[in-house]
Amino acid sequence: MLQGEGNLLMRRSDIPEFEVMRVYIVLAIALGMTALLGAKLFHIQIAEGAKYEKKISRQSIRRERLPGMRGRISDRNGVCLAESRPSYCVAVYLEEVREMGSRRYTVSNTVAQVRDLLGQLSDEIGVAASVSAESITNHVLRRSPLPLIVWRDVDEKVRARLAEKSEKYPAADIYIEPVRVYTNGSLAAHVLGYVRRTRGPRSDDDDAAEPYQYYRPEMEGNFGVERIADDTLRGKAGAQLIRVDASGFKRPLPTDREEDMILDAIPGGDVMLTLDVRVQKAAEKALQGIVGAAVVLDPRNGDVLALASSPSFDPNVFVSGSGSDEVNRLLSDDNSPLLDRAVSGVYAPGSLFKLVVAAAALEKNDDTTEATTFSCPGYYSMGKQVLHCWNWQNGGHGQLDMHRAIEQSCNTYFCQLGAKCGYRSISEMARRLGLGRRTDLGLDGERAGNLPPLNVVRSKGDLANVSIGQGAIEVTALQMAGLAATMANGGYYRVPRIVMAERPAGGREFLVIPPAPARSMNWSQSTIQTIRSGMKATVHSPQGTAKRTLVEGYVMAAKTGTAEHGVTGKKRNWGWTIVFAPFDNPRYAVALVVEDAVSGGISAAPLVRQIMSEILPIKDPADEPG
Amino acid sequence: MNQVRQIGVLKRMNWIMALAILSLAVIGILFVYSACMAAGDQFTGRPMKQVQWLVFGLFVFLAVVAVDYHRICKDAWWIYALAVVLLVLVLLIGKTVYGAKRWLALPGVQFQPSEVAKLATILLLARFMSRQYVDYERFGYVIATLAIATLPALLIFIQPDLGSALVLLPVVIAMMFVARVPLRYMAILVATGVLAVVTVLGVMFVPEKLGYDKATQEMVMKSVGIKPYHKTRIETFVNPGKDPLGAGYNKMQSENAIGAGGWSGRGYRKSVSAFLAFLPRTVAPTDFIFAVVAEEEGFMGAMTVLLLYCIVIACGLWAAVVAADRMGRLLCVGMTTMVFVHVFVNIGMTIGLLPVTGVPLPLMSCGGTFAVCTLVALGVVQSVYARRRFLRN
Repeated sequence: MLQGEGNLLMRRSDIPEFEVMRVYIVLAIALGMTALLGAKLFHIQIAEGAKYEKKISRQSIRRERLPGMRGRISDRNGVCLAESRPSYCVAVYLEEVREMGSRRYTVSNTVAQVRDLLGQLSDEIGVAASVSAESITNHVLRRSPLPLIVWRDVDEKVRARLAEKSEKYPAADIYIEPVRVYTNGSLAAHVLGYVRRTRGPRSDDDDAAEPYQYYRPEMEGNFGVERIADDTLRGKAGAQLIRVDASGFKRPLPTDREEDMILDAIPGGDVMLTLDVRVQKAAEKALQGIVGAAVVLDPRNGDVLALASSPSFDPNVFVSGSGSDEVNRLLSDDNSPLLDRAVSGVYAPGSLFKLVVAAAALEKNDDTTEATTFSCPGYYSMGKQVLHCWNWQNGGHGQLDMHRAIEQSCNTYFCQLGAKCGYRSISEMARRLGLGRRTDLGLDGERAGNLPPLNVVRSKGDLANVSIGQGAIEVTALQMAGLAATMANGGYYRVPRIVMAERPAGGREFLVIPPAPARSMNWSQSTIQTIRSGMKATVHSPQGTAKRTLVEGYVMAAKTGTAEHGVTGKKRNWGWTIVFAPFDNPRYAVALVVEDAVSGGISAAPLVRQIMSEILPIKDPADEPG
Repeated sequence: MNQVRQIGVLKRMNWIMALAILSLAVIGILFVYSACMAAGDQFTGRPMKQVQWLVFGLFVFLAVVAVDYHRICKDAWWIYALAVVLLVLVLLIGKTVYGAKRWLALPGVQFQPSEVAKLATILLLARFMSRQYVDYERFGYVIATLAIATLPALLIFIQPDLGSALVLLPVVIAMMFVARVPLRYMAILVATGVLAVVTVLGVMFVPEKLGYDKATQEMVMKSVGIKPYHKTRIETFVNPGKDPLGAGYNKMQSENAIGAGGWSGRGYRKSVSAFLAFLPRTVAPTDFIFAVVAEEEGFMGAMTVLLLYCIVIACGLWAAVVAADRMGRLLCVGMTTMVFVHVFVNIGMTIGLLPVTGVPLPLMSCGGTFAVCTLVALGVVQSVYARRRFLRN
C-alpha cells in the first residue's frame, strides 16, 4: 500500500542498530530523570505534605487578640453604675480600597486611595475625618488587614446615610466597638475609678498557643473598683484569625468558615457593690460645692453604703484617652478632684477623738466611771501654758460628768480624763478601733492616718492635745465612719466591705463576698451606754453640739469635731460630724468632714442632717417580712 | 508531490503522541485559567490569549507535520542565520524586562528570539551532522558541530538568560551521542566543561565557604583571572535578585504549594498559594504553573502530567528509532531532548530540586512564543514519524 514511497523504505539490514541503541540509552536516561522528579514529588507531597500545609497557614493567618467585653458594675440593688455599650464607628476596609483601583499596589497608592475615599465620605456624611495621613500610612504598613476606624461614635443619621450609600462605598462600613460608660456620670466616681485604653499583651495571655500579631484596644482598670476588680471585669481574651494575602491585606479563602476563624472571648464578669445609689446620691448632694468627704456605713455589717468625695469628676472623660483637655484640667486642678478624700484624705479628728478617750478611760482605768466628774473653768492648765475650752468666754462648763462632757464636748474635761488614764490606754483603744492603719477596704490610695507612737506623746501638753484629737493624730473619714458604726452597733468593729458580690467571667450566678466577721471590743455594758447616751444628748439636749444634725421624728446620736490645722495665722479648720441613727436600731453610721469649716457643729452637722433626712425614710429591706 | 498527498501524511502521525500533546495543552489552559482567576481581575485576559496562541500553534504544528523535514532542513542555514540576526537584534533593540533583554517587540506581537534560535540550531545541527562527509573520527568536525551550537548559546547567555542557553548543552550532547561521535571525544568535552565550571565555581565560592575574608577571596579569584563582578553575576543567575521578592521566595512558595497538595490536592481552582498571591501573580500562570497543578490536583494530578510528558518523550524518541534516515533521527533526538530538558528543569525548579531559572513548562506555561515553538518542535518530530521507514516482515 505504500509502494509509492519506496524511496523512504529501507531493508532491515540497513537499520543502524548502533544509533538506535543509543536512542534507547537517551530514553532510559530521560525516564530515569523523570522518575527522580516523581520521587521528589512523592517526598514533598506525601511524606512531608503536612509540613508545607502548616507553613502556608502560618504565613497566611494573623491572630488578633479579642478582648472580652468588660463587665458591669452595679450598686447593691442592681442599679447600673458602669457598663460597656456598643459604639458605632465608621471604618474603612483596606482590602476593599485596594480592589477598587486598578493601580499597581504600593503603600503610597493605597494611602492616596484611602485619603480620596475619606474625602468623599466626609462630604457624604458631613463630618470631617480626623485621621492624619501619617496614621493612615502607619495603618497600611502595620495593620493592613484590620479595619481603619475613622469616625467614632457616629449618630443614627450618619449610619443611615452610610447605609444608603453602601453600594457606592463598599470599602466603608459600620464597625462596632465596646466603650466603657458610667451611666450616672460622676456618681461614685472615686469608688468606681476609671479605665484607660490599652493595646498590647496582657499577663494572662501566656497560655495562648500562638502569639498575637494584632491587638484590639482594651479598657484596663486603672483606679478604684475598675482596677481592684479588673480580673473579674475584663473576662478572657479570644482571638480573631485573619486570612491575609501576600501583600498583607485581608483576603479570606472561600473555604474559610467564619466560625473556625474566631475563638470567642469570654465576656467579663459583673461586680455588685455595697453602695446604695440613693444613699450615695444624698451624700454627694450634701457635699456639693464644698471640699470634703462623706462615708455612710451600715453598722450591722460594715457595708459601705456611700463613699463620697468632693469635688468629684466624670470618669467618662478617661475612656476616650488620657491626653484629653478634660483629663489635664482634672490633673492640674488645685482642689485635686481625683483625690478620694474619703479614704486618702487625712485630717485631725478633733473632738471626735474624745469618744476614744472616753472608751479608753472607762475600760482601762478602774477609777473612771460615767460619774467621774471634772471641773471646767474654761481652760486647762499645763504648767506655763493653758489650753482653752471652746466656751472659755462664758467661763467654762463648770462641774461635769462624762455624759455632759460628751454632750457639750468639753475640752478641759477630756484633757483631765486623758491625763488620768494615760496615753498608753488611749493609744491601745484607738488602735483597736481601727485608727492608725488602713481598713482593708481595698480601694486605691487608702491611707492609714497617724496614731503617734508612745514615745512621742510625753509631756502633759502632748497628752492634752491628743486627748482632744489635735496634734499629730490623723484619721480618714472612713475610719471615723467606722468609729460611728462601732458606737452604733454596741461595740463591734468591722472591716468595711465595698464589693458585695461578683459574677465571675463565664459564670452565671453572683457569688457573695461575705462581710468580715465582727470583732467585739469587749466593752462593758456601762461603757457603751455612757458613750451612746452622751452622743444622743449632743443631738437632743438643748446644750448639745450636734443639734443641727437632727431629723425630726428620729432619735439620733452624733458627735461633732473641729480640728485646727496649720500654723498660727494660716490656720484652717476641719469640721467633722459623725452620726448614727435610728438610735435604738441603727441602720446608718455616717462620717462627714468639711475642709475650711467654721466648726463641725456649724459646717458639717447641717450637711449630715441633709443626708440623714433623705436616707432615713428609705425602707430597710431587712425590716420587710420574708 | 502534490498537495493532497502531503495532507494525507497527517494520517500517519503518531496519534498517541498527538493525544498526549493535546491533553497537556488543554490541562495547561485549564490551570492557566485557574491561576489567573485566583490572581484577580487584571489578569483575566491571559487565558484567552493563551488559547489563541495554542490554536495558532496547533495549525503550525499540522503544517510542519505536512511538510517533509528534508524540505525544512534544506533551508536550515538560512533559518539559522535569521535566528542569529534576531538574537543580535534583541541585544540591540530588545525590551528590557527584569534587567534582561529577551523580548523583541514586533508590531502586534512580542516574541523571544531565543526560542526560535533553539529550534534553528537543532535543525542546522541535524542537517550538518547527517552529512555524508562529516566524519566524527576527525576532531575538527566535533569542533565545527560545537561552534554551530555555541554561537546562539553565547548570544542568549549575554541577554542574560542562562537557563535558555544551558538548555542547548544537553541537546547537543544527546545529538552527538546518537550521531556516534566517539565517546573519547565526548568524554574529553564533558570533562573539560565540568573542569572549567568546577574551577570557576570553586574559586568563586570555596574561599567564602571556608570563611576567608573578602580580600583573600578576591585574591584567589584574581589568580585565575576572575573579577568579583563575575561572581555577583553568577549569584544573580542562580538567584536573580531582580525579582522584587527574590527568587528564593518563589522557590519556597512553590514548594509550599506543591507540598500542601498532598495525595489528591485541594481541588480545581482552589490553590491557596495562587489565591493569596504567595505564589506571585506574575509567575503562577507561567514558570510556576506546575505548582498550581500540584497544589490543586495533588500527587495524582502531578504524576498524571509527568506521565503525559513521559508519553511525549517516549514517542518522540520512538520516532528517532523508526526514522527513515539519520537526519530524521537526529531531528527527533534533538527536538525531544529539548522538550524534555525544559520539562525537567522547570519541574525540578518548582519542586526545589534545581535552582530557579526562567525556563517555562512546555505546552502548559502561559506564553505565546514558547508554546508555538514547542509545537513546531513536536511537529518536526511528527513529520519524521509520518515519513518513517516501514519494516517488512
